[in-house]
Amino acid sequence: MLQQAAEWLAATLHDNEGVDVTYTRAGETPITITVVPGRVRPERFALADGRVNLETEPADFLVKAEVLDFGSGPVEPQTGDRITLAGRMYELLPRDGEPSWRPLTQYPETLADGTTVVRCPMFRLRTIRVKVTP
Amino acid sequence: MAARITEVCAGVLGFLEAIISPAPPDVAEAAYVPTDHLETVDGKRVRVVPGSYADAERLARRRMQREYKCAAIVEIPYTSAASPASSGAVPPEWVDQQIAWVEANVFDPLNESFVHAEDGLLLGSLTCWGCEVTLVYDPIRLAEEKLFVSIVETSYRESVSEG
Repeated sequence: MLQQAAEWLAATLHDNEGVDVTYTRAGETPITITVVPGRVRPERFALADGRVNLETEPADFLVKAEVLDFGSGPVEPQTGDRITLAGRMYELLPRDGEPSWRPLTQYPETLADGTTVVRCPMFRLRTIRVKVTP
Repeated sequence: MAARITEVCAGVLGFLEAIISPAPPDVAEAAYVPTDHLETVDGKRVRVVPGSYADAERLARRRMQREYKCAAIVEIPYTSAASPASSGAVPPEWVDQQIAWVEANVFDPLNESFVHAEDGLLLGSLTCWGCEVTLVYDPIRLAEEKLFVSIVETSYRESVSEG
């Protein structure tokens, strides 16, 4: 039941809210995948007691684990991966003490040999908007 | 007529501009509350801003030594993709390079200039009284925005007559 619910949630979000983006990793050929844009929350930081300020645009994305495939099978996200969406570039970076990505939903599955593995149908990616570079 | 602290900051900025010779996208400027948008930042940015000023010491019955403080804020973005290695988003060697750049181009020149009258003083009358790197780097900005930030604060003194 838990497995079905997690997979239904991932598929529903992916099919109804997904947008196509270019996903880039250093050393790999960029791929086009569908992601679900999540929360965007602009932040402002004061540097040097507020005498200089920095505005950033952190954004979350949800992605089905199975679509993150550079050609040799599904892989996990990693810090430094980049997402290009509508001319904007976002980069996976740790934020607020949290890692740059984490499994969104997980459920245990018992295999035929009796061992149990944890399945993850979807990842949540934490990104920040960065300057568009080649 | 500009306030003396404004003149001091302008003097420091002009001095640093001559050393750094900023070419686009690098920037050296005086700005009170600049706001950078991370997605547009590239190149080195050096901002000279006022700190504080006050009478520091009485030299004679009608003569005071007045102190002016200003800060040079350096921002340098790391524009390559972050490293997935566990050592952090930005390579330590790159941070080493930026720290060395600040030392060579901001701290050392400010610290070693305008110290002795015979070598020349800032605006002709201000002696460098102190120079301190109050922020070598900001670990959070480095980890979360890949932005190197460093602050160098200087103080200058000159004697002024009262009344």
